Amino acid sequence: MIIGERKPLEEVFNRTDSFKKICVLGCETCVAVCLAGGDKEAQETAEAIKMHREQTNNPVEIKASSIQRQCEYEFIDEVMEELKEYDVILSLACGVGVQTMATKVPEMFILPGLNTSFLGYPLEQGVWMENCKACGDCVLDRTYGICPVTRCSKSMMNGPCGGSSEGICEVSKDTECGWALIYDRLKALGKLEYMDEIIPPKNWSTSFHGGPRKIVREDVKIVRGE
Amino acid sequence: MAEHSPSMVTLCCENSAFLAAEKTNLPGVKAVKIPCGAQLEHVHILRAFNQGAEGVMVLACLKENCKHSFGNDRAEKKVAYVKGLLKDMGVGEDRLAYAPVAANNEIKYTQAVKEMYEKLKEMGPIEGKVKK
Repeated sequence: MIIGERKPLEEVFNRTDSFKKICVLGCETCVAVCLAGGDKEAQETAEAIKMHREQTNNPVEIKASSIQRQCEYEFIDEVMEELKEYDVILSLACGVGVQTMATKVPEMFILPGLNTSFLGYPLEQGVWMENCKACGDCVLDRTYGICPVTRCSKSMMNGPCGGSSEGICEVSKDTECGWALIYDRLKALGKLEYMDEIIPPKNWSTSFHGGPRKIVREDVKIVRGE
Repeated sequence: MAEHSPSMVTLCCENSAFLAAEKTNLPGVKAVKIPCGAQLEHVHILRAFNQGAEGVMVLACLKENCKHSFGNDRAEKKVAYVKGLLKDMGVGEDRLAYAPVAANNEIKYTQAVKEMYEKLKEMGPIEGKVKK
């Protein structure tokens, strides 16, 4: 899922100070699960803004609300009319949600209340870890469920490198060596010989360096009049 | 000039601190019952401030004595988090505190709350806040 983190309050206050009617809109999917942008966090942010405005004697009409997903028009439609009553939407969705909102409601100011951090999973309660870079050319079949693009600090396709020591990467003592993890996994599976397989240079053309990526599926597209 | 009389809210676990709070009558202090420290959310504390409190104290069960195992620990952590928010807002983290209190210890409840109340008196009203 998409993992995010609340923006510093000072930044939120500065960006919203000039607006008199604010709607703080949470997103109840990924960022709610990572406790950064769901309904609870929307209410919390709204209370914080209200408190700040009272302190600075700058009255505000503020409402906290949330929808299931800000990254799909169908869900935005449900609250469209209500949103138009406000001067600005402080979206607690990820960057995808904020931009979908901005596209769907072009006449309104949409500001982000979160920093979108990465694609990851909850390692334990309160700890989230990145484990996918969305590179567009998955190699997990060759690395047996551990992504070298994400878990190896150098995104090496064949490893480990000389910077790996006792399972730890030279980059930081808190960073596990991705290739040591792959080795350990293969050892546990009794397939260490797979480590000998050389992975050819990766196709990076599908990655994020050439503008926004797009997937078109003609089989599911709806053609006008259909 | 008349001495400042702050308004303070105590958010008390119904299994411990609230039972102690019921036996006291402290002027300027409103005790609010919460089902467990674990049920406390950041927004509840902020809302108390927005509804006029100049100081908030969260009181839950003694260490390792929570009916729901870790509710008190969670409440303490949440208080620490909101203290950070209050600091960022310029309200001051000292306006929020956490204390563990047993159900039969109204003396400790009174002591903890009075101590905080005295601090609030010294701090005066929240800067810039319009008195309601």
